[in-house]
Amino acid sequence: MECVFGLVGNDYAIVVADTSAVHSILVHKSNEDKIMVLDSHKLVAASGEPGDRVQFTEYIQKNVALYQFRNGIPLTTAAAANFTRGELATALRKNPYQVNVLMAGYDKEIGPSLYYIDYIATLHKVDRGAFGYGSYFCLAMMDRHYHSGMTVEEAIDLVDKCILEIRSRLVVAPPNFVIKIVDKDGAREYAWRESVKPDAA
Amino acid sequence: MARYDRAITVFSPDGHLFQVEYALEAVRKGNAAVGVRGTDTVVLGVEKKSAAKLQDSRSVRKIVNLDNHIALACAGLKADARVLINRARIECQSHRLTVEDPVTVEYITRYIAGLQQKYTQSGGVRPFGLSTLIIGFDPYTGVPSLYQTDPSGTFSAWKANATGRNSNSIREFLEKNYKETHGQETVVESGGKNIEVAVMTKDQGLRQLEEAEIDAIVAEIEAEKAAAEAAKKGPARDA
Repeated sequence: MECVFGLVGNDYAIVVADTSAVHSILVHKSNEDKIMVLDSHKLVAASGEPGDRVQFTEYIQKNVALYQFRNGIPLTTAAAANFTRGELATALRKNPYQVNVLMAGYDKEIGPSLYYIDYIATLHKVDRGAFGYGSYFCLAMMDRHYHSGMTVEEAIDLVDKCILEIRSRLVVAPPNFVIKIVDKDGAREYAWRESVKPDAA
Repeated sequence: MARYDRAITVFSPDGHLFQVEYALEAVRKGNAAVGVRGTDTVVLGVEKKSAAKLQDSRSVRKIVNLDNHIALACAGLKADARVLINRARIECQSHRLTVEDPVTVEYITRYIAGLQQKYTQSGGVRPFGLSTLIIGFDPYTGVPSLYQTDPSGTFSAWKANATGRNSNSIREFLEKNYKETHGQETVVESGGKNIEVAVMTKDQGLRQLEEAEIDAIVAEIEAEKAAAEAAKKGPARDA
């Protein structure tokens, strides 16, 4: 039921995630932010087992921060993605993390990038990727409308198309989504798409 | 005395731990480090011994970040410093991970001092041969702090302090000239020619001053000193 997807543009990367925290048939909250700002220029959108999701992404975030203090320079997106994959791989045959990750980042010389890392430690560098039931619809939409060198406005339009598909075609579609963007100016929240006003909390 | 200074875990009859005191000697021989705390700024300065011509001086960073809001300078065995700094950096992140809060300056000082103390009470190890000056801002109140630790594992907070070579005379100077609002000037004054200075503010974190900036401040201070000297001599001669 969790939907996470993302795409890369000419000088930015966008990731979108639903914001429902669900336990069986109960929706705990509908404003759960599943896209973590890993560092100034990286975003990690994660889906999967809620406890694992928070535990794993926070663990990655703190280790990335430690690397930066030890070495005086930040990790590249590729390095962070490979580190993440390595942690998933190590835990896989002992006590696997049930977390799927889309890692988006911007590096000065390289530009934007997106990495697809699934819970059994598959790593792919992609232009567009998606996890969850929503992926059936998002990937199809993105395959149809994506082209390289899209502007932010075009990309957001595509994102909205994907969200519309999810809302209309997925039986237990999450009502709300959060969109985050990373570019040369850093990683930040871009917008929310709410069809159900979340709790005041 | 010789019998009581081999092992760290042995007290001498008059209550000394000689290994710890010898570690303090090592600190006294190390490059001077100075710290000054202001109302909204904290400054660290470290004496740089003149760089060998072929050495890349940028690889010898004496003032380091432990976290976004905490920095450390030290006097003594720099290799020991690397070990302590690494452990402290890990602890800063570990604290953030477990309690979702950045460390306070006091917490990380207590941690480092605790580590230094552990090595004064274990078999087969020697104490860390360095004293540290730790500066930072409380993550919530924004209050700046300056702490010092030493090889024995004691720590305390200071308004201004120095450690390493000539620390006593520098401290005397600080006692005479310290005012609550002081920033870079005091540190540079007491430092001398080859120093590395870093300024930390609440919003901008740690900023290492460029050589040009340091030279400019030194020039300013020299000018002030010369003016003060002239003012002293001037009236006396007329009279």
